[in-house]
Amino acid sequence: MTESDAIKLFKSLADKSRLMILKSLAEQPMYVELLANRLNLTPPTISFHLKKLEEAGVVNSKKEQYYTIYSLKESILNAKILDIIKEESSEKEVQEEREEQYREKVIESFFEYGKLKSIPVQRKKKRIILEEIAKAFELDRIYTEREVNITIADYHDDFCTLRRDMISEKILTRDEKGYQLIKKD
Amino acid sequence: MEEIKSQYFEIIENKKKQCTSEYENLKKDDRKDEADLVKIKENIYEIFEVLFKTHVNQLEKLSIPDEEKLHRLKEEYTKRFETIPKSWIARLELAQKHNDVANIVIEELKLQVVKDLKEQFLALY
Repeated sequence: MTESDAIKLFKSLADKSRLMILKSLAEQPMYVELLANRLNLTPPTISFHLKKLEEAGVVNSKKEQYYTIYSLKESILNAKILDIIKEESSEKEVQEEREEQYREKVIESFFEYGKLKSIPVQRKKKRIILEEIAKAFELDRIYTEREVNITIADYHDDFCTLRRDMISEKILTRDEKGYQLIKKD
Repeated sequence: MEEIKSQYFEIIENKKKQCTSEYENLKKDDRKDEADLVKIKENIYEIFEVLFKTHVNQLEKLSIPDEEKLHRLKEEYTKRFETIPKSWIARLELAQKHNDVANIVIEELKLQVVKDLKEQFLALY
């Protein structure tokens, strides 16, 4: 478990309503309405908390006919807290985790439901969003300019600027045959 | 207009007070996320309180009969219950499309507050 996963886990547990939900789920798997009745909270509030618990990896969900049944993910809850605390990461892993966290933060602030809200001004951030868009391109495939535009337009209307930026950032290459994704080292 | 003005301000003031006390209680009870949801509700009450003040202030400056002021207040302020939440409805639809539970809860809560306030306002007439 990474440090950020551990923080997410502990944060998810540091809430009385969520603890009550976990206590109920420890008795048996349940669906939202049942939890809402038991805990005297509204179903949307229960869903809100369950989402957080699910993101922290503490609960599982499974669709059963009309209901989504939630249950405890015992592998996480059976782990010793001391083991989680003691888990060590190398300096390289710590650095990589920091970079990944930064990346996620940038993506989270500039993208909403897969659409780019605005083009970042700062080069480092722009590079991150361009790399994210580049995931829509296949390696070793040659694209026409129209195909590149259509792919980028799925993310933002200003596809011309983004296409040019992807060339200047050496994410895409362009020659007489067309555009191609550049392989990362 | 004075009567409606004071009654509506009182309603909003009471709602805000309820939110403040609920927020404090939830925080004391280690339910920070739910407390934050209450804070969102309080913010919506504040938005509509400010808007109401603005409408009232503008109407008070006019030299028209009180009945006309009341009529215009109803007409103009009621429109706000449609225009302000437009973007929230769009955000809710988007969140529902992407099954984004946290944002669904937030947008539904905001819209519920607006619905409640609109009903309370119209009931004064």
